[in-house]
Amino acid sequence: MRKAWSIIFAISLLALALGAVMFALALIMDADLVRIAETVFANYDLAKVIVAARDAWANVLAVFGL
Amino acid sequence: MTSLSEVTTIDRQKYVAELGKLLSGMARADREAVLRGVNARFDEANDDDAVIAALGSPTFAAVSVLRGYTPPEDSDGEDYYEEETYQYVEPAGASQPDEASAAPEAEAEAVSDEPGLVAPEETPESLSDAIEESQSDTGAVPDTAPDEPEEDAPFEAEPAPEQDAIDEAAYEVSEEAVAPEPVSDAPEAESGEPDDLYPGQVAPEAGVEQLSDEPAATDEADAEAEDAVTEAHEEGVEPEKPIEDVQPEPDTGEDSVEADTRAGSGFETIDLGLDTIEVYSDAPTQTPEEPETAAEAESEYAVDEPPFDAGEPEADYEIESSYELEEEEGFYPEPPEPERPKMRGGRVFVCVLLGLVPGVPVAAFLVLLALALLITGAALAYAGGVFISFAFLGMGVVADILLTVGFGLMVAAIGVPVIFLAIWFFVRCVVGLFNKVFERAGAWCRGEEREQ
Repeated sequence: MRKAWSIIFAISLLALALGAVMFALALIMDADLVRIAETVFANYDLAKVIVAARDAWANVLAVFGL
Repeated sequence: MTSLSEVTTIDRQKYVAELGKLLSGMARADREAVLRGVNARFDEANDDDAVIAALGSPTFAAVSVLRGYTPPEDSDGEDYYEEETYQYVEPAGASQPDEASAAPEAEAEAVSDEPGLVAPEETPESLSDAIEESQSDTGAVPDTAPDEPEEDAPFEAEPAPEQDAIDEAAYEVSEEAVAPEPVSDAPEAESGEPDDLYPGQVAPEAGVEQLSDEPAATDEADAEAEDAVTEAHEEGVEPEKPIEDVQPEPDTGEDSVEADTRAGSGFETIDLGLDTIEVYSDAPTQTPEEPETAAEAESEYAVDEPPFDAGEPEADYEIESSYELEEEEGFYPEPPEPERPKMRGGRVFVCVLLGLVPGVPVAAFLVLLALALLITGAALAYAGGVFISFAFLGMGVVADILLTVGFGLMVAAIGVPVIFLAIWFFVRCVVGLFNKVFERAGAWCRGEEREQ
């Protein structure tokens, strides 16, 4: 368990460091969040996803009579 | 008078210095012991000249000491002095040094017989012969001092190292037959110990009698002896002349008995016995007053040991065989299983009640907590994956791609350890806790004491 912990911790730390570096590099390179959102919404119908998530949660509450 | 005292003082110093130089082949501790004894003797007798006359020349005294000297096996020599049963032996004593000298002599003889080897150094035997010849030529009367009994106070205080020093030195001198260096070489511990090579004791050599009958060395005799030594040294005289008559043979207890009997000295018997005792480590230490000789002791051991050696293994075999027989035939009864103590009804009821009332909600809470952690971690990992997937939606700017990938990596990197934390929490905290609780509760219900 201890060895597994060390492996997981090392991988996570490495991924976190790499992501932080890439995120910082992207900000330096003038990345635009609005532009990213437009691209994402152009490919995904986010409104439909939100509606589907609300319906699923309501069904769960209905199971418990709430 | 003052000049005389100065002269004697210088003579004494020279004597001790020369003796120490000649004994440089001995172990340091042994050499110091010998020199201490000599100094004590000088201190005891106010007349240094008399002591010098009694001891003989430094060469004579050194040869007397080195005869039969065997270097200690352990180099440090700390334990060497702790052998209380060793007794000091007068350097020019009757035959004691000669008993142990057979082995080194035999070695020296063997070495000198080897082809191509030169034996330029004088061995103790030839030295003693030269001394004897010189003393007999001068008609020197034996002085009583060298043959004084071992009750001589200062020397008696010097225990074992003396005798062992003699043995070691004898070996050293024999070794010099190979190496042209004088006694300055450090002694080497070798298997040629006196107890191994006592066979030469059959004939304690002419040197034995010579030394025992040696007169007190006068100055002339000493000078002649030294001259003879020098001549022999220069001429490259083959050593071990007297020893050639003596064929060293394997040691037997009888030989040592003969040597002991011939020596007639309790100390010599003890020295031999000590060697024997070292071989038989369980042998008791012998004192000079004991009438029993070493050979008798050996014979006793020889009589006592065989039944002991022959008996024990058989007993072990019998034990093992009986054990195997019983084991094979199933003679061994199966160990009865310990009866489990009966459960106490009241305690069981209390445990069940406590387990149901607070246990189930607590367990449910812990399980839900672990599940929540797992869901959180999984959601984070999933979100990270989703953000990374946005990079493949056809973004035209590299900075945007880097931003989505970097954010996704960070989120996933947080989510993975959370997942693992949830697993660890469930295994160690939920399952482990309830295992402990059930174990304690079972022990309490059985009335067993709580283990710390």
